[in-house]
Amino acid sequence: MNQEVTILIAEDDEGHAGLIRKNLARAGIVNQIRWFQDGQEVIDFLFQKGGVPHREEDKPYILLLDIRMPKLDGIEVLKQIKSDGRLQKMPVIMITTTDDPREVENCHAIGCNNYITKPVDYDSFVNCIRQLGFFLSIVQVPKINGSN
Amino acid sequence: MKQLFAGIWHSSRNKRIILTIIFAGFWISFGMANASDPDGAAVSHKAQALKTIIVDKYYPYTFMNREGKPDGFSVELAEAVARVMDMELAVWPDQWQNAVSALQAGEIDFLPMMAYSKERDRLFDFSAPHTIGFDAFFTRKDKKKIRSMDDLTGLRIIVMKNDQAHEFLKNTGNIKEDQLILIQSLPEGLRQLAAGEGDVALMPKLVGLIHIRDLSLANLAVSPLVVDEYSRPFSFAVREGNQELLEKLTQGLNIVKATGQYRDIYDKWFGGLEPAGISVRKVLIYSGIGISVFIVAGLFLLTWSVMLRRQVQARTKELKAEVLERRQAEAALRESEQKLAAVFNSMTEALVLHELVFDDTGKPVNYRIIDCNRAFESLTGISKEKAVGELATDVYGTEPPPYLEEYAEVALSGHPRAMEVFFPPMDKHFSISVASPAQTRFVTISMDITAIKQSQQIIASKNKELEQIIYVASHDLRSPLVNVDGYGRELEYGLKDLKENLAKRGTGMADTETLIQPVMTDMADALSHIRNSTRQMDALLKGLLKISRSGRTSLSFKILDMNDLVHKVADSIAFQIQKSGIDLSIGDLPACQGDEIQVTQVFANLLGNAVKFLDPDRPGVIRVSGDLRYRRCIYCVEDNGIGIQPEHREKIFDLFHRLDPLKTEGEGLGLTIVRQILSRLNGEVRVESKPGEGSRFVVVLPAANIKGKDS
Repeated sequence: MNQEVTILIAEDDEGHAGLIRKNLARAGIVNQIRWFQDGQEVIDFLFQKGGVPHREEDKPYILLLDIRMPKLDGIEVLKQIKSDGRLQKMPVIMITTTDDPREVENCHAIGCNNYITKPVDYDSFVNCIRQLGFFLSIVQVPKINGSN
Repeated sequence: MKQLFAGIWHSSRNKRIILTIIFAGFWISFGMANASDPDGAAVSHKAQALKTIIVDKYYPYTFMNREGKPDGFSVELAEAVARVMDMELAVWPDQWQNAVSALQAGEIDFLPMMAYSKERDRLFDFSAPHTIGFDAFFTRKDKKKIRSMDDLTGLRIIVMKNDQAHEFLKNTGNIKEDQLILIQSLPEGLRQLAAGEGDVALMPKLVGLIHIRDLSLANLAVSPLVVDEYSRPFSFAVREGNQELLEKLTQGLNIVKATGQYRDIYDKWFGGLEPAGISVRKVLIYSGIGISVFIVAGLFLLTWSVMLRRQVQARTKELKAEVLERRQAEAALRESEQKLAAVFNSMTEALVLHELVFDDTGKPVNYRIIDCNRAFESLTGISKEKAVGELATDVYGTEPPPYLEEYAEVALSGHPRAMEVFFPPMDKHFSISVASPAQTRFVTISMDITAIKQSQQIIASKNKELEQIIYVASHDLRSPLVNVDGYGRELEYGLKDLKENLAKRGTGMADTETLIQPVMTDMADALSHIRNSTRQMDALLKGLLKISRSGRTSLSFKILDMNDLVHKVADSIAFQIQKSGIDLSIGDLPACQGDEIQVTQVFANLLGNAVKFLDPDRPGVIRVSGDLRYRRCIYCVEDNGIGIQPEHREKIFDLFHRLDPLKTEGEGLGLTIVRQILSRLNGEVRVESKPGEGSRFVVVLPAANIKGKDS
């Protein structure tokens, strides 16, 4: 994957975020990773709001997004991103614990690029993250302003 | 008047009566006609003008026509008779009395038309009658008709002076002299009667009817009573002893009859309504017919009476059967009515019959209760006596009346409908069937489905709870498991690394500490995640148990003094309130029905939240207030805290939902429990909030049922 791409992880559970990081590293993904504890934080970063670090213009990002988070949940974050002209091209991968088909369908309807269920079985989880790593290594990530 | 006249002639009954009158006239005058029949001796005479007087306006007998010449049936008949007997005729009009005097004095030779009477017979000689007339009484339409002579008692009677009718009335003995109003001409008499003079007029029926028509005296009518005591066999009259002239007139009359002239004249004036002329043969035929009819009628009557008796017997039998049948039908009807009444009053549904009430523009604005059954009383608590005949707005105390629009639509269209409604004044849910038995009326059949609705609400809230538990199991409980399993696996990796590193130590390439240290750090991290996750799972499971227990605790309903209850809750957090400098005020709260422990829990949670989510940048204000709406208590817990974003308004009641787990304490169960408790207590909770300004939680609970308040 383009070394420039920054991986954003929006995940309220620190443990989950740690596991994702570790396994992305094992899969050979060495890109910069940013972790956000809730939906509001990642929205503030992407929409350049509030007194927190903001995204940089002309830089490609990819977002790994959990659903159940305090303040602003993943569905709401996904909606805001997909209805924003500049951000809608940014790949968003849902990584969440629930495999409720209605939730999966809903996310696809809003426009998520991929949907991964966190399996309780760790080997499967590792496998998923590795596949994600593979996916990330070949995907073309557009820059936020639209050019590749 | 034309119509009346036509009516008289066209009605077959009246026609029959008139024909009978005339026919009977022939019968009565038969003997007289015979007696005065001449023996046929013809006396020669020389042509000379016979002088005679006619009475004007005695249509159709004698009158002056438009040219001012004498005209009418009697005039034409006299002219015809004079002509066949080769005599001249001089005719002039005068009043009847003068005419009679003139004849008596020999100033004139004859009168063409005089009715025979015994009194007159002393003064005059009469030819055979040429026509018969009958008299009838005339009254104003607004007065009683004359049906018998007794009806005349006390009445003022108009009658032509010295006319046969006058004589008849004088001779009845029952009529006093001062009852009579004497007139000189019939039209004059009728006009007077029409103008309100007198009560009744007696005159020849035919003459009277014709005058009424011609004079358009629309307020007059002929009475059914026809005077049978006398008829008017109109004859030519000469002075007593003038045998010669009488012979001539009689002979001339016979010739006129024999030649058919009489028939022509008669038909011209009377329209061929009855047998014309009088001949012995015809009279005999008629008498024969009369006698035959009489015999036949006698036989018929005899047969008829026998048949009648039989018929009466048969009919009596029939009637008995009919009476029995009717009694049975009535009994069946009574039974059916009793059944309906029993159903009406024993059914558990309230059945009410109403009638719409409209305003001036025809718009339905209200409705009236016409009838209701006993179930109505138990269902609404309103007595039948206070409801029947009253307007819905008065009975139910609502403006507009309940469901007017829906009811009016049914009553006016006739299309029945069924609906389920919540009626706040009674705090009840009803299932109502509405039908219209007649335009502007409607019947309602209402069932109290409050209990069913409450069960449905409980089931709905239980389902929601269950759904949340499933969500928690699928998401929240899985979340720590991912960590437990994930970091357990990381420990394995760590151990594996440790083993490899320790093996490397054997080669003496590095010291033990540098080999072990990073792995140990990772392992410690993994263990802390595992411990955290197991604690998290424990908390979640405890929360689930709490919710589950809270939903199953037994409730004890009683009337709660909410002022007392809320103040106690406030006291329990007094320290916190004082410390944070919060302005807490509690208004007057109406008493409600509920479980004390559970309701205390509700207000403890709400007040706790209000304190917890105050804005640190401004002094906190919390207000608790209460109101009574129909049978529901409405309590508000208001704060000026941070408020709730619109997208969170419903989620705040969800299981384990926490606004900001890092900044605030708690397990995310408080509002879930509030909603659950209120659902079990037949209450509800909702939230209104403006982010940055504050929140307002509204709690609704059933009001304490104060006795006597319903009625």
